[in-house]
Amino acid sequence: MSNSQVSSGLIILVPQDGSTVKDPLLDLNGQTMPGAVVSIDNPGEASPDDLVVVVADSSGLFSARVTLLEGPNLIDVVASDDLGNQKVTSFTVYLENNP
Amino acid sequence: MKKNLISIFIGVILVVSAFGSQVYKASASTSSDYLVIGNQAEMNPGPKATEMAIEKATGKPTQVGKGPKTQGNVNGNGANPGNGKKSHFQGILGAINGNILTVNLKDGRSVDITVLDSTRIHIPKNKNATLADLQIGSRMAIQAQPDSNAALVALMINAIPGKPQREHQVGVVTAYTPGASITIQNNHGDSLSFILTPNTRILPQLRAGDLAVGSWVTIIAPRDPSGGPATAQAIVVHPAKAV
Repeated sequence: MSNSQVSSGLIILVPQDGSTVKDPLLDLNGQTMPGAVVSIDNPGEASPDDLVVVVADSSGLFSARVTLLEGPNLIDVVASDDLGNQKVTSFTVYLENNP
Repeated sequence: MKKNLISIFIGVILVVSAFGSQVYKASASTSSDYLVIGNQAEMNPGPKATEMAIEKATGKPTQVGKGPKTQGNVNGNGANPGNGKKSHFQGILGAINGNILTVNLKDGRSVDITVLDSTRIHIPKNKNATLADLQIGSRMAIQAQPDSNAALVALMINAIPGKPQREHQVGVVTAYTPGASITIQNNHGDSLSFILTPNTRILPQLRAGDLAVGSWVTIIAPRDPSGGPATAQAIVVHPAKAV
């Protein structure tokens, strides 16, 4: 992945969109603008306000752990830098305890 | 004596010549047998020939000998899911024709998926959801599998509830009433107000006490389509900017 790709947006490196997992605890990694605030849906939490919020490092890399529900989990990710520039992406992960 | 030797020599040549001819014939016979075996192979079809025969009979391609066959067959209510590879589809439900859903995918294509009695249907807040509860225009994720006719059959359908888009607003705090409201001015000079609730988190915790008028913050809140003040989900307090 080139720096220009990263600087132009927000990329989820792991997991792949549409992937299926068996563990309700999902570790995700991504890359966005350096120092950006990144908010990530946490589907398994009772309240929709229970986002996971992290700050990307100087390379724009970030990681987080979210909890999944059985079935499809649509996870929105929003990142913003110091100037208020905002990037949005989403991906779906399927939790199948009994695939 | 000399004549006798010549006769013996000629006789030996004739015998050897005759023996050599037999060897050649045996080789030819073997070659002929090989061709026969080839013909027998065609008479007793292998997987490839069977595959072609099924295609002729049904007019549809099949995959005999290329992995597990799908089980079950067409019945009055449709097909049974087979053992083919499971696939996931996500999109907007475009149409319902009987027990067949047409789902419009992200990439602009659409796919028809058959719903069976055995299909599990999940709709939030509806534990006993059925096909009749699915609504055109709703977003859904479907796990499906090809049946014996290569038609997709739904194993599980999950309706995905709509949720408001989340936004980040970055700016300097111009007014702050803990537990009630906060107002910031962003880089464009716009004044934006947010409602605070007990669920609003102030991050990182070690800087929560620093939140005050003049703080530089990112406020995370769902976009309110009505235009009214949104409820802040989280406030990220940034380190003070060097002047």
